[in-house]
Amino acid sequence: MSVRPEAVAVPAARRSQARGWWGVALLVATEGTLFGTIVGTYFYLRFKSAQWPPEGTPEPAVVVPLVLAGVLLATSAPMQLALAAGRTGRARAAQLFLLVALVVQSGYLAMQIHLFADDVRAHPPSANAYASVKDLLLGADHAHVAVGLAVTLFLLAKLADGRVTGYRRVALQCGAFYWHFVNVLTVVVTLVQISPRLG
Amino acid sequence: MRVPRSLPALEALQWFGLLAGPLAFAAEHVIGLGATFARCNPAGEVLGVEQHLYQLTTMAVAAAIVVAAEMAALLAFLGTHGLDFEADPPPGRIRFLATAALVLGPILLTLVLLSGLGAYVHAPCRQA
Amino acid sequence: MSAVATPARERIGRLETIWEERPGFLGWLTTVDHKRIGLLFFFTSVAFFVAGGIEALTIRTQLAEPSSTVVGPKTFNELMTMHGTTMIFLFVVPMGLGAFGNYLVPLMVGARDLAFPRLNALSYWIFLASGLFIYVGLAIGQGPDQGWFSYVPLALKRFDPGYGVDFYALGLIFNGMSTTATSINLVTTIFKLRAPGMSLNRMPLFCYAQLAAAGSALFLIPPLTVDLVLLELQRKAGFHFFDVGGGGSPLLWQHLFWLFGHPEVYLIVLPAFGITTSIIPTFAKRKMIAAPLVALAELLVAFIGFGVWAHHMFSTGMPNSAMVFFAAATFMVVIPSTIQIYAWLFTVTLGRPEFRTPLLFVGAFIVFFVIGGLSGIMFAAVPFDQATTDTYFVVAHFHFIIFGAAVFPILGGMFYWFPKVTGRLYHEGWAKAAFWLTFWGTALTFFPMHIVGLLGMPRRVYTYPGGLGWDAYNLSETIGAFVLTAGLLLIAANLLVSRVRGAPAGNNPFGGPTLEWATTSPPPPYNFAVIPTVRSEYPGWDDEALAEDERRLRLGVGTLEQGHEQPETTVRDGFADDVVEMPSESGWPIVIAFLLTIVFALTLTSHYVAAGAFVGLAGLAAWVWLWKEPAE
Repeated sequence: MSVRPEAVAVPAARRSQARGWWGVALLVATEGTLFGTIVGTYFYLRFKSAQWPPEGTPEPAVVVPLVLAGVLLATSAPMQLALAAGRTGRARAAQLFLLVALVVQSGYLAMQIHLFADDVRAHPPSANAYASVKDLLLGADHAHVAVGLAVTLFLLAKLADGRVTGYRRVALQCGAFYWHFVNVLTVVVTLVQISPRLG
Repeated sequence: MRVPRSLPALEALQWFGLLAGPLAFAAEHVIGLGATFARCNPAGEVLGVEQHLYQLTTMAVAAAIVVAAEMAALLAFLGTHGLDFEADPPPGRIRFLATAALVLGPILLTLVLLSGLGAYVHAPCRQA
Repeated sequence: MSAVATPARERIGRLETIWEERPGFLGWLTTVDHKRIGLLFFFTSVAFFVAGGIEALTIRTQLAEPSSTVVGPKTFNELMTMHGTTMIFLFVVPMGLGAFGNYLVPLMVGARDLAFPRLNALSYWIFLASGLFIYVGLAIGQGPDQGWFSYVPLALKRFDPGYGVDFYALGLIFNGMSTTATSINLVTTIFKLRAPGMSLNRMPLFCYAQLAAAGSALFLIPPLTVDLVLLELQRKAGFHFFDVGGGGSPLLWQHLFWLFGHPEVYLIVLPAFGITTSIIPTFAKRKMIAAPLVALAELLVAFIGFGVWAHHMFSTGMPNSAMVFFAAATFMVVIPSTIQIYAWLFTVTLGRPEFRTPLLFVGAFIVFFVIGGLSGIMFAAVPFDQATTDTYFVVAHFHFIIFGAAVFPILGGMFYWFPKVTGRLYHEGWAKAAFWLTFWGTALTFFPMHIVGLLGMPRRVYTYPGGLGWDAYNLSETIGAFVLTAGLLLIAANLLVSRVRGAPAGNNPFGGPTLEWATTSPPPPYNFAVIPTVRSEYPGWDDEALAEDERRLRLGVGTLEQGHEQPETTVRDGFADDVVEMPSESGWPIVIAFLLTIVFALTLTSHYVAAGAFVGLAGLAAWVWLWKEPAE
């Protein structure tokens, strides 16, 4: 007969990811599919058009979007460093990294909202399908960044008393995971945004 | 080919056998459809999509991966010879999932070939 | 039963104190116990089933005779739309995942609750709110009337200017959040909270089916959400997605809808597969034949199901070279289902079957599933599909599958697990009578639809002229619908009376092999006094393991009575990894669901800034919810 399993005699160090990590992983899967669908919609509409963007709509900028995406992608570093600090119980270091990330993330979002507002005023999404799908894609991305800001703020607030509990360690892991997802997503969205200039 | 006995090898073979085939079919499906949609719409002229080239290439690559996955599943199955489906993990679990993976090959290979050859046979862009 | 305080009894007492929730009505509003939430899902789904059933009976009454004037065309369109929307989104999916999945998955894997108990509660309250949201539209005379698949351009503002489409679209976006949350919960539970020793080769096949269903939900809800968002943006803000003039395409709606819609039907039928795969070993008194193949078939049917969507669009003029991908996948998707059917039939034939009510419902399921599956595979042939699309032949096919293949196992499952949930036995004689009434009612309602469809009767017509050879079939279908209703009412009466007067059931009246049968009927709030020992796929039949559990209860090994405790295990092999503290009851889920309802109501009435403010409030509530940490 088989070996009796050691019921709930747990090893000293975890072997696998916590529930919270899986929750975020599955959220990433579903939100990733959401964006995949919007990107698919973008190319479906593109294939249906002889001219993209259509007559009268300017081509997208390339440099500014790419630079901004690069800046946001870079915030994965302080987020990951905050996680590493949290894992070894260094609450103050984690807070510092989170603060750096927050400043850059906020600056990024402020810039993007400013550019988005200008663009929507000059070329409304109700003009044509190109504007509609482009603005939907960008708007959805900015909304996910905004949620990410709330996540970073939450983590900062949680560490305010200088302690790293088990719960907070998992929270840092989830927060970092979410941000890595948003950052990669933003790169993908930016590439789609500038794709008319790449073909 | 020698049947592996080490756990890491059996583990890798089992997961490749289970996951590679479906992913290959999915890729062939998406690329094949994408090629048709691009070619048979106004963008086709502009982007110059070579529909049949995309479809036959992805069919061949996908079919090769499905066959490789079936071989991997077979090796994992043989490497866990004599074990019951309910045996202790990891070997029992590998046996169970490798058995499951063996079924994938014939189904997915038929699917991949039917789609790819079917797409090739039809005149491009003729309405159904 | 001795009144002496034994060690086991003391431990149970401690667990009772730790896990009890506040009593009364307030307790139901703040519960996070998966069993109570499962019951909430169950009764709410049944209520929506009754609503959808009344809609169906009204439709059938209108169609009983040619040129009938029981209801007019606009009302008919609303009934037809609400019937489809209700049955799919507000009955069969919440019943499969939210009721059966919620209640049974933790018990079957040997856990004390789902992975995220408060998220589970939020999922229920959102489901309730979204269903009521859509019905408010109907109640105020602004009911959705554009068909449950809401094709454009009919659903655009130009042709459907009222609020009906908006109630539908926003209500379903809202509803999708519930399904997504439940799915994240079920998948994480199945991966992480299985009892130590329950490796993937020892996980019940019911859980494989739930894994396939919940896993696919994560990928099929987004296309629907995007489609509905595109629709609302076009309707409310003049975006261009579906109009050719603006550079859009009406087919875009259909692609996205069916990218959701086809996998959705596998989501609908998979919990039914899981119920069947639970009932058969119990009543055939043998292990499931070819269990790895059945597990694979459940996952594979969901996977291939994502590649067949445009078989709903074979008559839209797309190129052959695209259609062939979908035709091929549609032919092959039937293979995994066939594997399961053979496994079930072999298991029953090679066992010593006891034909009690649950097994009868499973037998009927197999009959209906084969018939429905055969008509389904006929649609894989593009020419046949183009001849029969939009006729009653299609209506016959999907009702055989949804009613025959999804609802019959649900009914069978209700009888099977009734003793476990209530602690009482149902009346077997009346149950069998109800079964036969329901079976023949179903056959009489839906089989003639094949014939009348081939005779050319289109679907979604509010009436039809006489003398086309359709009259007798339609009348039979209506009679069948009432016979079917009588059967369902008899089932309900049996269960309601048995709830009060049924004989005591004991832990395992049917000799079931899965872990839910290894605890009391009904299970205590903490499910298992001791975390079960798992050494086989049928732990309920493993007498050694059960005796071992008794011994461990006495010794306090694996009772986890220090708090609201639950073990986490590794994904592949079920090795014990950690002991975690589970949250207790909370009022935040119902509060957030309420705030989100206001968000959707404000969006419907175009008050976007106010809606944004309430999104912020909901975010704040979530912050407070997550702020409290479990004891270390």
